[in-house]
Amino acid sequence: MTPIAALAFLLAPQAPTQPSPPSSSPAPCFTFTEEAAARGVTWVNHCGDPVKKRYLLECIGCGCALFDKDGDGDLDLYLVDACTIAPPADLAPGIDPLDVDWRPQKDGQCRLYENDGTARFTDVTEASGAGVRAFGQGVTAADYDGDDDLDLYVTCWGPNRLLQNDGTGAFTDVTRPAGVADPHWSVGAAFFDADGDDDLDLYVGNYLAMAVARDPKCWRKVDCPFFDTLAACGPKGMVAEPDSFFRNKGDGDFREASERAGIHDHEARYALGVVAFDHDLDGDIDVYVGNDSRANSLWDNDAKGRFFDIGDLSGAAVNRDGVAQASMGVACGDLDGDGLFDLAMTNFSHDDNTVYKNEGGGSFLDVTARHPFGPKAYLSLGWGTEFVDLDDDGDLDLFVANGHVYPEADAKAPELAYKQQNRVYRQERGVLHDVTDAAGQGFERLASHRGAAFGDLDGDRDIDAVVTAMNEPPSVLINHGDGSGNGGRSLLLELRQPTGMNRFAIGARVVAKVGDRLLARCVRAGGSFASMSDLRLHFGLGDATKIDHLVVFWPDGTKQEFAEVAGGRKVRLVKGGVIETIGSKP
Amino acid sequence: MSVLRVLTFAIASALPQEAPPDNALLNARWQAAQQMHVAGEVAAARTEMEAVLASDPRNLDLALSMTRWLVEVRSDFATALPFARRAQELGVEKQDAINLVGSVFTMNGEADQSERVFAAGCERHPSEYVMWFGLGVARAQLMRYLDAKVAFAEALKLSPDNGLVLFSTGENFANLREYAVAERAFALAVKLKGHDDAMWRLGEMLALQGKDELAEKILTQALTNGGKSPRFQAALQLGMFLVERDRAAGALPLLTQATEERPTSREAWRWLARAQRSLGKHDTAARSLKKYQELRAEEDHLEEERLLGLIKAQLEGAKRKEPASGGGG
Repeated sequence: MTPIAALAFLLAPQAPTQPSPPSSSPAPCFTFTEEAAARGVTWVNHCGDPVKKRYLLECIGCGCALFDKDGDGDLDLYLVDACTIAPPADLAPGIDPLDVDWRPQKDGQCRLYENDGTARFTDVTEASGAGVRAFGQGVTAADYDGDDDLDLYVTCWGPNRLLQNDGTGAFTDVTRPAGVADPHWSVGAAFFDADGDDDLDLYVGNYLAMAVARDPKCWRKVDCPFFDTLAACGPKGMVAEPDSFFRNKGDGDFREASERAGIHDHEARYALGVVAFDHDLDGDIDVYVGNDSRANSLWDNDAKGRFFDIGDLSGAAVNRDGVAQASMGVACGDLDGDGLFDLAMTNFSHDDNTVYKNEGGGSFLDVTARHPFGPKAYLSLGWGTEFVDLDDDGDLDLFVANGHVYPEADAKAPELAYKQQNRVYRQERGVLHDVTDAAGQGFERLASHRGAAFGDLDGDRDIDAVVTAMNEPPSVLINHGDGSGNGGRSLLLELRQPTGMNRFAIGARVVAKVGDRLLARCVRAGGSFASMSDLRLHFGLGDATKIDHLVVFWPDGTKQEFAEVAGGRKVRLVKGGVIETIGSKP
Repeated sequence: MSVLRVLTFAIASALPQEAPPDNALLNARWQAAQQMHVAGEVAAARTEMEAVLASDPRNLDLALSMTRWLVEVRSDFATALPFARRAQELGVEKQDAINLVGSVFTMNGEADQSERVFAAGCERHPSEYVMWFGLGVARAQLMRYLDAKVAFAEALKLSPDNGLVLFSTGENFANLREYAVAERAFALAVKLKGHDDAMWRLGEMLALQGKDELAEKILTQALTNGGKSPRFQAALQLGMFLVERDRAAGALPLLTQATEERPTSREAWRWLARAQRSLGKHDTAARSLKKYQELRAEEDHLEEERLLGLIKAQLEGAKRKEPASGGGG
């Protein structure tokens, strides 16, 4: 066979579409099953019209949160919901409905589900007071008032909502007195201590000025080109809204401080994904914002809560080719085990999920090409995402929730679809490999997925997931491990501070030495797409049974060290104290 | 994506040779239209050509002649579009004519039309590689890379030593993030002198796969290969390659050269800033970054202007339609 003939053979449709796998035989893969209905989670999302998405507002979708609402040690589930929008019912005769602002309807409602500890959920929305009725988008959870329970902040098109927890899982809307009713169209948000005063401040990523009456007339219907069909318009051509920063006064009330914090120093940029983490390990918390089709922002903190955008300088603003991507979701974690927190972004169809390696000193490098994501990832449209150790082997894998923006994608080409599979990439020796097809029934579902949150739902110390879907119930994905038994040896670490305003130690960083490997994790709110994962830190130990050395860097910079921390348990460390086992499930 | 450049290349090597119109009067007007076009009176020329065609609207040869002349002699694909469209309506059957008409659609961004033309051409002339090649280019332009892969594979079966098809195949695999296969296609395209950009693209594919030694060798060769544009790309790619491998000192002259050769390349400025920062030259890095940001703002502004233009056009279109439709928007 001549070289040309060989190439022709390679190029034929039956040719493999992925680079060759590693020469050694791959380790067994984890498997997931989708069990939402069986576990009691049946709420159907209401993000706009289920069939015809006239406005971009109807296309973005909703997130979810996994958090412990009542301090009983298990993860409860909060599903953000939106609603349909319609012209006012009392529209005067002769007025074109497209000339007036449309209003949210009352058909959607955020839902709170209580976990019984085994991932059986009961809808407790009505009794909890958490059933927000608005055009909800995202959610983040933190103890903003220092009373030792997790409160909720729901981002919306229109004023956001702050729901104060009384410790039992009963919530009160305190948005107005707390001063955080950001009126913009908000999506991502994160609580963190920006200025080192121990209380939690709030960054809110805002998208665009969606106003039916204000938008160009031709954009008030499904009228913008998407390949050779028409779909909802935006974001380009629409007015971006500036992000917001709220400084906690120390008593749980906030002051709008965007200007003083410097985050209005550059033009607004259609923010979606937001994550707060210490990118340069200088002890203060910085903010990374994924902006839709605009350069991403990396807000470097001067430790006093004044931010400078070093996105362009850092290399994390655009991809290797200089393209500003869609940046729906942000994953943050130490992918390569060097102690620095790397980033991954989910993007539009016909674009990569971009992986940025943190090189330290405020420098990031696009290393996407090192990971053989292949055509399936390239053609998918990603949303919720996170670096999570799904096989408990100690290194981080990557989960990506997928679904197209436009229902019209179905008419475009067989390789595009509105409803898509979520995909999962397993790390082997520093490289992420697509193992979706071997990851079980849980990855078979086709839906237009959006938010994704991660945590141990059923108390077996491996990482499960909840993924929302447009106009459908979410997926509850239960992890059954890889059959190696590694999950049983992993460690779930809950950090708490006994006093002050940051009881859940948001901003703390933990480095575990297991054999010759370093596992770095941080406690953070935000990330993914519009969603909130468990605050507890998960350490997969692989074949090891213990962490040899554990160092905790508390938010105030103090450090605690521990030797020989046994795995196979869920533990709590209260600052200054000892590591205690909690829960009894083996 | 360089499919358009590829296509221009392809058209030049496969142009049809239709006859001019028979009728003397028509022929005279047609000649006059050509002279107008040469004199820069493009709109008048187009009007005259349309009038000539209108007098014999079923004349496929005439429509094709006009299209061919505009493309071959004048490289004016935009003006050629209505004549290609007419030819298409009249039913093109010969492979040269199909190639011409389909290519004009592609060059005007009407890839969906082009795809239809070439798909029909593939049915009619399944053993002509150029039909499959055109189909592949159209599908790639539609970003239907999986479908394009099938078309390029057929073209390659029929014309296995065609460097241009190999280059386009490489581009398509690169678009699908199948870098290993793209590398092989570009390597063969280099051997066959398929395209000026093949060498630096080969170097880029090698770099993306971490084949550093070979990548550096190829990109270095590409610095002196081909015309100005590929040499600029080679300098930029090699500069990026070196910066990514902590060899900013080696990258600095390359990226400086790239900014000098193409001062409007925001990517050259961005990577130059990165190299300068790596070398501790913070002041010059800040200046380069500022230049990059200015260029980006300018491009963003142009994009906004383009969108506003589209909105305006749509609104005006809607306004024109309003009396008939009785509704707005």
